[in-house]
Amino acid sequence: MMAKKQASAKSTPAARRGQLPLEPKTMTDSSVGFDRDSGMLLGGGATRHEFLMNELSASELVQAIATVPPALDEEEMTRVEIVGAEGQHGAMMRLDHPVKLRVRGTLGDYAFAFNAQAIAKVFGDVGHGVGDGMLSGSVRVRGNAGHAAGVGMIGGTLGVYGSAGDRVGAMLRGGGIFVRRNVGNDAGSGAISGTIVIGGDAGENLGDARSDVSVFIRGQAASLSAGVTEAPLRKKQEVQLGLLLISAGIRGDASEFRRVVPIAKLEAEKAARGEVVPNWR
Amino acid sequence: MNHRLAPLQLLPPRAFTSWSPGQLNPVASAIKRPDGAEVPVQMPLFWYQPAWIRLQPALADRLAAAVAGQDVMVSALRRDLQTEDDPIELMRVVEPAGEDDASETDAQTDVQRPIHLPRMTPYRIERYGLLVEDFDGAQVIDVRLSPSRDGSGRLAYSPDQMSRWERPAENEPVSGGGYVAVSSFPPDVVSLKQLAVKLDQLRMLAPTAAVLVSIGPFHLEEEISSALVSQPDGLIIRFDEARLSGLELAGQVRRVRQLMDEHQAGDLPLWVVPGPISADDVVKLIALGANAVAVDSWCNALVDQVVESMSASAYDRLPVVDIAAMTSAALWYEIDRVVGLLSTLPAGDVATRLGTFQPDWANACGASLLR
Repeated sequence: MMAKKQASAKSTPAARRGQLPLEPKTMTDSSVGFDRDSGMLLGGGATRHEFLMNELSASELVQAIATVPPALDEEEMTRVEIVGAEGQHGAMMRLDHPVKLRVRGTLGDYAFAFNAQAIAKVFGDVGHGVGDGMLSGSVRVRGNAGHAAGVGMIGGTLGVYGSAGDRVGAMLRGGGIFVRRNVGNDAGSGAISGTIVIGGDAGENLGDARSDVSVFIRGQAASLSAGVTEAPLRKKQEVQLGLLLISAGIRGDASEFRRVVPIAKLEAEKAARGEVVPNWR
Repeated sequence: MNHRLAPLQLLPPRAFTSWSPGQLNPVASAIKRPDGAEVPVQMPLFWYQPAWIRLQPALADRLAAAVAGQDVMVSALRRDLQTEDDPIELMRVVEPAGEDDASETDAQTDVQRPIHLPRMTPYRIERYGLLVEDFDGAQVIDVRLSPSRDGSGRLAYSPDQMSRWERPAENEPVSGGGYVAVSSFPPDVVSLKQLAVKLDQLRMLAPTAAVLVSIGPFHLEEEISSALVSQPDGLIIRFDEARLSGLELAGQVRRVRQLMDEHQAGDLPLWVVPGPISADDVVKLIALGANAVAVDSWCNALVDQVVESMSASAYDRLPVVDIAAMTSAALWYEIDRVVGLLSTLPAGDVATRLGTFQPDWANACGASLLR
């Protein structure tokens, strides 16, 4: 990603509602899901805060967001608008605050690394390593993501409604990643736990024989890693995936997906007549 | 103690010349971050690869804190030292912010920061076991760019190690209970130039730490020039991964420093992991251009001692020794000798500091040939 100007911003209270750009009028299935509750951000009675990314450093921005009082009602999280996103690296890293964030613009590398609690939506593209080490909460990206989206995630959900680069979900340790369109090579390499859902096609070396991650793919993979194979979904996985797709706003049936699984694990499953064998290696 | 660099002599002041003792604290130094902040390093000694897996987490923590209490920087993750969410002795605050003049001051904000025991966070490519809290209070983030073998010779992590780091649910071992292979380059780094962004990310996550890059000894010319492109705050070279003779080790340390000079990085700290080492050899490596030296052979012996001292009772696995006292007794002489020898090390180039009676050593290291 290009080197960007230092993140900076100005905090203003909620009163700039009318200045925000309008939503696109044409919506695909993914953007319907993406924007399902975004309308609530523009209306409703919840307190809204706005920060400009042009006058604060990355750490100052996180500190400023952390000063926003959380909502008393857990159902109605405090909303925060971030404007002035121009590809700054390291944006909102280590944010640990229960707010709903909406970012307008493009973010650089390592956006929302180690995010906890925050529910974020990015109306633009993101660079490499989005959601690196994320702990909880969710990050949804309306555009495309660079390489290693969700690398080392421990929990939470990362959604990319465009395409993602190579090594999606590499070293995944927990949580879930879904990519609406295509992913690059080596998706899921080194992943040890969690879920990766690929709505489109994948590049070379999908999956990992040492991995215990659940990889679901709807399109085609250019190749699978050594020691993994494709298999149909089990009933329980179909239900889980169906719920995930509904939550992500992705149209389609879980039965359209196949899972990519280590051969050793598949054989252990078969040997146990359907029951998952934890120690399959 | 095996003196691998015995043919090298630490040169005393010449006769008929005036000599005065060096600075009062010859062992303390600081690493400069690009943002201008300075990370203090109390002692040029560190414990790079502790075998924490051999000890229960609570005992590992006590040993780590005891070694760090001797001002030797200790490499550890929280998950190496912690069973549940108990407080970790190694990560405790030694001096709260603002309560003492000695507490560190942030160069940018003039805000005083608490002082922690000297700790290094290993940032492995795979991040298994890493928690975001591992960045807090660390003095060094060690970005391990090339993979290392485990004790069994594999380029992999053992099931026990993975279990310690990842704490899987009972009866659900990580990745089905097998070895998990290491990786060879960070998945989120697409080029050496972009690695600089990665290091900046780590600096933001660890605002009190210097970010050092560590590499193995096998492709030094290529890897040092590559690593320096990413503008780290220093380099760590893991010479212990090769079985080097003393002559080879000394020559390689000298060569690395020359390579760094050639890349206009002569001011960057160079930390070396030499394998078995004596106090005298530590100082000789510093005279050759190292800024800090790993003393794993001293500290891993302490792990052996703790293991041997464990009670045989299945119900009481506490060691029968006082770990802090044992550590102090074991390390005090070695550390004091390092401090003592360093206090006599003259300023100047290698030939001013080191001499040898053996021509091959003089050629390899640039030491003065003594006749």
